[in-house]
Amino acid sequence: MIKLELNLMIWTILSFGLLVLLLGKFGFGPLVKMLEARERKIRESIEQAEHARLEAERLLREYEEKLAEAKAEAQRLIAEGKQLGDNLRSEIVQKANEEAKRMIAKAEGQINLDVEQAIKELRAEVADLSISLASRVIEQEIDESAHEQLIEKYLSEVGRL
Amino acid sequence: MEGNLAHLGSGLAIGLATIGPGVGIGTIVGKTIEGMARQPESAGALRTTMFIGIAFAEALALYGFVFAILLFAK
Amino acid sequence: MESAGTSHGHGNIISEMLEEFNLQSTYGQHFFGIDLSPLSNLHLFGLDLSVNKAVVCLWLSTLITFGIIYYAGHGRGLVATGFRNMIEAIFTFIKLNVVEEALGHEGKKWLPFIGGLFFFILINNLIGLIPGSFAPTSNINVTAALAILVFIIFLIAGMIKQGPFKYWAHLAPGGLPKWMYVVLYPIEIITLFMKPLSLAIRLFANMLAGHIVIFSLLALIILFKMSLLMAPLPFLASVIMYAFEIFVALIQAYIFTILSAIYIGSAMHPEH
Repeated sequence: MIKLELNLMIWTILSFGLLVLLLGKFGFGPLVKMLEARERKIRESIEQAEHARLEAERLLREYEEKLAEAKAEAQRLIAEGKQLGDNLRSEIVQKANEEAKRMIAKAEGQINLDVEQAIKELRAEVADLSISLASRVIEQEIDESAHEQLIEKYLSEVGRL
Repeated sequence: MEGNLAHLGSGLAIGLATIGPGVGIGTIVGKTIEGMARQPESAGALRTTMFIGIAFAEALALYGFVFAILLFAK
Repeated sequence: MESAGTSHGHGNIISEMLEEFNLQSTYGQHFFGIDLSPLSNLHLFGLDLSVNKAVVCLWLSTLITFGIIYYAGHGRGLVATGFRNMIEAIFTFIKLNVVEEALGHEGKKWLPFIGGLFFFILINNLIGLIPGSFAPTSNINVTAALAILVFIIFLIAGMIKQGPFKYWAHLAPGGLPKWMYVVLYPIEIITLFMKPLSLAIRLFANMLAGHIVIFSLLALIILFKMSLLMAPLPFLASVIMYAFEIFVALIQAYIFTILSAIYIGSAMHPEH
């Protein structure tokens, strides 16, 4: 069971020695090299990614600045437009008010004129009518007081118009 | 009954040889778990050291095993 | 255990089982039906180079070890997948946790030796799990050869690094009263020789014990007189032991390797 077997020992040493020689020459070298290459590649990728990230951040900041600028500009334009619109509106309103006032005044003048005219015409008419009436009454022998009373009555009635 | 005193010795050898390492490995693993519970961040290093410690304790049982085999195959 | 003795003509079933590990027996001369007896008495240059089952397994595991490392190193593309990834993960573990931890910055030139040791022992351990095959590491001669190699290498490395006389002087720690060295020095010498001995016995006994446990569990089927009712139990137990054996194969390869690395490292730098 447990006894010395020189052949096994010799074969072990031979196999293992050969293995170490082969591994030292062809085995571990490429493996270590590949691991290092991968490590380098990963590090480079990370660095690149970091670089790209910084670049992207820079761009983002730039765009944000631009966006803010554009926003401010738009805000300014809108305010300007609003101001302009407000001015315009108040102007128009004012003009319209003035126009309306003017028209009202004109219309009032016209109306007054017309009323005066109408009164004048009416007066003339009334006078004519009174005269004709008076003449007719006179023809019918009416006393002085009744005549005057009649005229007064007519006049007052006309004045009420 | 067959066999001889060598067989008896073989059984005794492996049986007695396992007592000490059994206790020892139990202590090692128990203490390692205590350490891991206290400091989970060093669990990896503790586990490695634990296996080495177990190997040393276990070697004692294995000496008994080898003697048991030697006695048995006599 | 009455039936144990009656199952075979010569000896009981356990003796019969242990015969399996005896390479001088007829078991040792056949490998998967290939008759190795023509080479069983090979002598070259005065060296005993007889071939048996274990030797064939050694050749195979050497080839497999070199094959997988070569395959892992020469795969296409930088991104490893599947099997290549596994080999790389184990290799990285050995490189970082064994070689560089025990040997520091000098680890690079020790990598073929320590890494080769690990993969060689691992494949040797695993090859024994194939039924009909044989684990070379379950034979004391193989592990002893490896342990003696490690012993010689760490002696030489220590003597080269520290100088031949300083190395022996540094075996015992300095700064103690003189009379202590009379006691301490023999103990240190014994410890020195116990290192390869324990290395060899640990690996050999672990592998042998695992195989014997699996065999014993399967032998229970015969002890149960092949009854269909009882046979599944030992069978299932042996399957579980098989899985455990894979774990043990990994652990033992790792322990042999890291202890070798620590011995070499401490021989070169005694203060650590």
